[in-house]
Amino acid sequence: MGVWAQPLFLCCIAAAVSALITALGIGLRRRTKGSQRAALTYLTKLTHLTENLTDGFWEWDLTTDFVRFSDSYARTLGYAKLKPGKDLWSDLLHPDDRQEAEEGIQRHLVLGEPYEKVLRMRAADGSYQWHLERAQALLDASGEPCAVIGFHMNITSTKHTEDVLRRTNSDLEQFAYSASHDLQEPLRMIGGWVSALFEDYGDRLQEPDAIEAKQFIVEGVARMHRLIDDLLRFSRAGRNLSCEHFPLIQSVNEAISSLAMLINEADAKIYAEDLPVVYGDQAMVAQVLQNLISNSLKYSSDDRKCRIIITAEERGSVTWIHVTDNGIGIPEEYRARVFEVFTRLYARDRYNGTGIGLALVRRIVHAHGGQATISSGGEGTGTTVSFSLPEPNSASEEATSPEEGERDA
Amino acid sequence: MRRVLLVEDNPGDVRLTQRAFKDFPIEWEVVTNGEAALERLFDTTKDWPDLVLLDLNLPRVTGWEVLEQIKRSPITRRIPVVVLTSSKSEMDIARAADRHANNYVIKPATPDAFRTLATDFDAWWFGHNQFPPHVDLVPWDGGDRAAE
Repeated sequence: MGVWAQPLFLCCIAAAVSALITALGIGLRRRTKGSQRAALTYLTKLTHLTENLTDGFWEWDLTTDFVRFSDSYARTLGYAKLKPGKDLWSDLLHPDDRQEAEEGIQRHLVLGEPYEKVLRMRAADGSYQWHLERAQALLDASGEPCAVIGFHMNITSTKHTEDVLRRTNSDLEQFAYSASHDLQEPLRMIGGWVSALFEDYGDRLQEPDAIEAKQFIVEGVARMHRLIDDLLRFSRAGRNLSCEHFPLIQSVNEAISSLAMLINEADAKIYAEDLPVVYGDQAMVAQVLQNLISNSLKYSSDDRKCRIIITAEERGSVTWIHVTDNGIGIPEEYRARVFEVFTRLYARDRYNGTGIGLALVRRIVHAHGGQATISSGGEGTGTTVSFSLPEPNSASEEATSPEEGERDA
Repeated sequence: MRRVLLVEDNPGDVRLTQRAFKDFPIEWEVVTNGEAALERLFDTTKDWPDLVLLDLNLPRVTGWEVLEQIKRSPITRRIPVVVLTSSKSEMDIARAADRHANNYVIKPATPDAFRTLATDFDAWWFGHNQFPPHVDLVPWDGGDRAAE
């Protein structure tokens, strides 16, 4: 322990660590005058504990202006030991972070604002490591700060993961942009010139096979345009949510009015009862409901009219919304796959679509921190799609699927 | 004869555009990249075209830079520049307006739509800024203009 076994420093440790210990449920017994030795043993234990609990700590003695670093702190930066010194802490800080850190400390000392910063510290090999730093002033008997004790956690790997994630996201955005422009470009060329070809040379292309071939090309191009548009919508869905509390019925009404024509054509009836106020992006939730209702209309049974029931139930801090229909249902073996992008269960001539609907539903719901499930009694028995919307800041483990952590809301 | 400078790198698009305008008396001059377009417009020995049709997605010097250069110079800024692109992005439309494009036209997907566009276009840019023929003009009754 050597350098650490100094009374002032030990007191500091005790003060700073006691909160930690209490949190651990160990409980620190009040010291009595007669148990100084026991207390010292305690402190030694605590020092060991902090050495192992955190990535390191430092103590800045305001009377001498010296800063001491724990061995664990030195180790996270790749040094064997760090000698106590006057400006060492500032020296180790990344030049761009220095001002912010020093100002933060001053604000903490003068104004009592909590000090918590993410900073870069120079390691032995010259690289910079990301540290999460918290510091706390210690007051002397007259209430004046006499020292500052700081705790560090090396979060370089977390930071790195964040960076990679951010880059991946921006790559995706770039891809979406390319998809919408660069990929559509040659398609427009194909579609445009096939039409031009038949306009200019149509009299020489009157064979039924030729006309059929043109039809296939034109349809293929149109379909590709739709797929690209859908892919673009999918990649954008769930980003930049603007969440608020709103009556769910608003989204239901919005979804129904944008599908009014289809609903009338199918002579469908939609029932919605006692829908609560939920938390989410109202337009996005309307999009989810619109996709689900339009699916119910599309996959309705030939021998009965389409009926859709929308219900909601509150389970703790999570609201589950169920959209149930009396349509053709869905065979059990395909249920797990329907939420994947471009999954289609039926031939295009029977049920048209690109297979983006439920994938989009799941993506939007996940962005809200919720979950989406599908259930059906089997073919011909109708389908229920359920999705959940958690309240803000609720630690809703049940609402988040473990494998996907998109919780931008 | 109207002289149009078409800045377009894709030969297929050049032909589709010319095809759409084939019923109109246009003298085409085609350049396939941004550098050539700027060289042509800043060449003082040559007359200006009546209009520039500008694609945005060009190799190296992009359409954006061409637009910016033309509109930055107090002399060449008087040449009407119409952006002709496949991008429907609102961001691009706003960006073109910021750079003082005289118009922004999205490339039509079918030859039919392209011909309709060409008709409107000719009427607007070369027919003394008349309204396109298929727009129903309501005769002015001599009354209060503010009531429009």
